[in-house]
Amino acid sequence: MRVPYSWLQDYVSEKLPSPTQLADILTLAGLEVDSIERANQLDWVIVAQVVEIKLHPETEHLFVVQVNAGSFGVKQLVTGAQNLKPGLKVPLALPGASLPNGQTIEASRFKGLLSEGMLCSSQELSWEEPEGKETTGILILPRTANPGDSVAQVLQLGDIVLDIEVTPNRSDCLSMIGVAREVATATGAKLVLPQTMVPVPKSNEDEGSLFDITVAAPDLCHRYAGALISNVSLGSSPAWLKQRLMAAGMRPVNNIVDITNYVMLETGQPLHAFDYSKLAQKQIVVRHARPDEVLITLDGTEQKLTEDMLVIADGEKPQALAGIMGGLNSEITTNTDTVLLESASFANINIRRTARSLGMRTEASLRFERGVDPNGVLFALHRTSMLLKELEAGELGSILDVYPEPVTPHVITANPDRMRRLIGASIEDVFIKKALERLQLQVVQESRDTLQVRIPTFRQDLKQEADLVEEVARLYGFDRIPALPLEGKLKIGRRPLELSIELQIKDILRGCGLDEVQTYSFINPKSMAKLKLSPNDNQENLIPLMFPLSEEQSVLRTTLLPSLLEVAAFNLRHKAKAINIFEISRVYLPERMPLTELPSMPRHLAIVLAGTKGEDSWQSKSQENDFYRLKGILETLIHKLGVSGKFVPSALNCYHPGRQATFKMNENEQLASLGELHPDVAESFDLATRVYALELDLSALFMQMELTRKYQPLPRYPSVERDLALTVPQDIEAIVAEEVIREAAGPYLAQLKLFDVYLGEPIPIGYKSLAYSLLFRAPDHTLTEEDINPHIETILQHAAEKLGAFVRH
Amino acid sequence: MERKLQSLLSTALKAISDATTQEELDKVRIRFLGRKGELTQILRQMKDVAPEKRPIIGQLANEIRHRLETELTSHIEEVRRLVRLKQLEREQLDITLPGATTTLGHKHPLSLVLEDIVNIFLQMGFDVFEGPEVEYDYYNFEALNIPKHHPARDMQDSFYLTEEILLRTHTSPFQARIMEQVAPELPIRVICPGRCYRRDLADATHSPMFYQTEVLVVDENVSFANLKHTLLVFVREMFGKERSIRLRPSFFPFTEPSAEVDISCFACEGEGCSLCKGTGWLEVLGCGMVHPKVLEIAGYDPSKISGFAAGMGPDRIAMLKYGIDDIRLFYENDLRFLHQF
Ligand SMILES: [Zn+2]
Repeated sequence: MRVPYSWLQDYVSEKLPSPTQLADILTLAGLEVDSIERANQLDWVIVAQVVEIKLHPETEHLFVVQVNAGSFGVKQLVTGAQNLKPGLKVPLALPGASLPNGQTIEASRFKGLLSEGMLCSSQELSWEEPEGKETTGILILPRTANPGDSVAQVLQLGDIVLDIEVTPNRSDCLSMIGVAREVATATGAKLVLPQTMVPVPKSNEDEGSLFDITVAAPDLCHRYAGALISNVSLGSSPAWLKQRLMAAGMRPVNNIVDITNYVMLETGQPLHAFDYSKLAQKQIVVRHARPDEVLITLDGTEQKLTEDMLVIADGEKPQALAGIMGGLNSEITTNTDTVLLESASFANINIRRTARSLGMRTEASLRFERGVDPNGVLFALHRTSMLLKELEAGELGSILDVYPEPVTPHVITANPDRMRRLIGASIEDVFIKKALERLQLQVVQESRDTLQVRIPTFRQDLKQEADLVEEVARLYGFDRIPALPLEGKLKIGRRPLELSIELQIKDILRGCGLDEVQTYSFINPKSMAKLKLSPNDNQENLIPLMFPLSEEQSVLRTTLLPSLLEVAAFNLRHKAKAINIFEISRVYLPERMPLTELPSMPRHLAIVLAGTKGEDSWQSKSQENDFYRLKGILETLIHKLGVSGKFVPSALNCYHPGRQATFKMNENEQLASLGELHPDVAESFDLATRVYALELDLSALFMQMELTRKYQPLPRYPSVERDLALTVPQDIEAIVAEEVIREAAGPYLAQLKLFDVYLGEPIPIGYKSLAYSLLFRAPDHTLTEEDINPHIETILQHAAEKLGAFVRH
Repeated sequence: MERKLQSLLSTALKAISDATTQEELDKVRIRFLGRKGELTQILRQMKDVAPEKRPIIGQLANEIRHRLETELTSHIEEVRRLVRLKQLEREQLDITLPGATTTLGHKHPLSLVLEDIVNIFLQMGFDVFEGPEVEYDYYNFEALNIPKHHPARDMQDSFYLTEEILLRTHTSPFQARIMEQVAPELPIRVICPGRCYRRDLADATHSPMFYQTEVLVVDENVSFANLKHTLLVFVREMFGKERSIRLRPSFFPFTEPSAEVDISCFACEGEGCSLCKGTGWLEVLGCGMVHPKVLEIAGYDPSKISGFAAGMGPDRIAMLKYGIDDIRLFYENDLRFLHQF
């Protein structure tokens, strides 16, 4: 709500505090002032007095004018204007000024002579001169203006405007009077209501016969009042009215429409003006729209109406969308000589629903959606009547008012003691009562521990004691309420195990050199398709948003991978060399589609690696990422969390067929899949490099964690270390070789570690060499060569038999 | 004989002092004190010495041996010292060359701030819970006193999945869930951090996904003054001991009274600057006393039980804390951005 400062002043008995002070007062009263602006400020446009006028020596169409610009000195201007005389005071736009029409002023030369700015006409300043007193050429300013002064100040332009964010509950503050009431309450000033005029029926005609109002949907229209404006003299509104409308953010149209808008801004009561001559059978019928009815609204749009929408119809067809926008057909035009003016109160939910479904939002609908006081309907008409007279725009006839069930103020029972306790401050009864009265809330009855408070109908937001608590507290001042510690039993705050483990996992991964990312939970379904997941990977289970902002954000993800791959691509485009990222977030897996209950939302971890592990240093090049680094990170993680299981080959389409694996905790429980991204998939994500990816279901991991640790006594006898290189056929998997060794190694094997894998000379083609270091130890004595040798023999024998291995020499 | 011994002594002393390496000293030792060394050679001639003189000569020889041993030992130490010194002189590093750092990963700034928030409340005895991100309309709105077509629903345009299920627009539904679950037991002191979603096009200050943290206390005699204290403690932990707070009346359908909370601007100490748009205050969270209707729906008697709730935006807090001017940076994940945290 844009509130022009000088306009607001009209309704407050004392001089308003300065705009910044006022903004503070309103903000602390709950009407947050977003900004303080100046409307049409005209910076660098100043008053100049003409000193001398000469013809331009080069052309007879231009004059060279010397002006006195006060503290800005004497300036020379070149102008074509004919209406200048020495002594006149005129607006001068100095270089740097920017005019309302968008023009920026610079010093320039005309036929060789310098012009240090521009003298302005009224149009150039968007200044409306009083009717009949328009000047042609340069605007002549009042004689009292001082050279050097701001023209905006002289013309009283550039009113200061407070932009107030009115919360949805305070519909009463969508009006100047409502805001003024808050100002009066906060400052102790009095609210000054504007002058009104109650139209008197003319004795010589029966106005009742001129039109008729039928409210056919009383549940949606609590009150409907109408009156005719006769002797309409349509024209442009006076400058002051236009300025105020513009400052408040509305466009001036003509005097009749401007007055209705002005009264709406002033009182919060939307009004609508119909061209009386266009109303069939001179009837107003407030009813539901009929099936297939259409209405072309003032904005020229054809609205297809549905039966749940409320319309204002004449005897035949809809003429307005109730509370939202009028129809083009009955718009006020230059031919209008009689206007039917509407002031009504509609049910907010219906207006809101209609406005939403048609995608319309008007000043009127905004107010009706929030709630308009039915008891303010006549005041707005009386105010209009006054303005019509003042502006000589027409004459309001007597009012036809349909108000079958008048709304009366309701009464709230409040317990001052409970109010004090809830606030936590010892606010005295006297203060509470005074505060309520300042808000025009009347204490109608008072007993030992309760107050009966009557709530005026313009405060529809006050429904119960808690609402009065807020009123009392804010008048008392939130800043005066003490800060008191909570009382109660001491206890330890706890976070759920899953969150603690998540933190631990993040620390482990950070230690592994991975950066954490956070990506949107919704993704593009096309990214899912790019992953080429098989149907049982929940692809058709993507939950769509009903009204997504874009296709990129249109379905809930079932995997984190697409988002991370996009992050990787984004960073590669920005020349990152080391992509090592992870995210822990939820995925959304519906039980069935369409959704009837909440989906399951397990927490996943995804890792994506590309490029190098880190940055090159002067000592060494950074290691290139590969499958084994990724696997190593997962191994580090599960080791730390005490999870065991094994890696088995897998066949997912999104990964390189020969470079992927699944980690299983047992036969059925698959924890993670990982691999080098299939080059086709990488390409489709714009990743022109090898990419390694992993996704892990953390909720499954949480079930299997073993975080308790038991101490193992340190060995008391020394160990014996042996290295062993086996040359085995190339297709023997490391894990198979390891199993054979372990089986044959006897009881003393304490540790088995692969330290080299080698292919090439002198290893025969089709073979590879696996080099192991074996650590033997006995718990009760020092091992000798004799203890170990037989086992080494067995290992070699088994390796030869079971693996086809021979020992490398 | 004596003369020979004296001359051996002076020759040996000279040889010792001339030696500059361990090897030379070893040679000196062998030459003079070895089994076939010069001293032994001389002593072999003892038989030629008069018997009464033998003890004197013997003593002299021992003294010389002892003297040379001592000299050798100390000279070896000296030589070692010099060798070490030379070695150390040779081994000069350019200590301005960069060290071999370990590449640690970086936590996301939002995670850092979320952890801070959670830790502060844990220390105040609040339990942490997570509510579902996909939520029923009922918990997201109705149970929070926001019936269908309530004008407050405008404040948060929502992503619906079905007519009744949506992406939660705030963490407040957790209030309804925990109260419903716990009522009529007391007290409740919980926070609920998590992702929320609103139908806002992304720009510098809006994101369709963002974080929120809900704070909820329900007990007997919980007051607005308690709310103020809790927030003051939080704000000072989060933003520094010098911070003050300002509560402004506001409106949320599920709290009454409601307030927006500003903290004194830490960039200008309240003087007014570009960060606080000249006001000296920064808006950080919304809060209020739990609305009696919300208590009632959950099963508490609002005439006896009260509570307060607050909701804060970790995105906003992180932006303030780190001076970030565009919320999109959080979700764009430019490594050059992430590596700053
Ligand atoms: Zn500041």
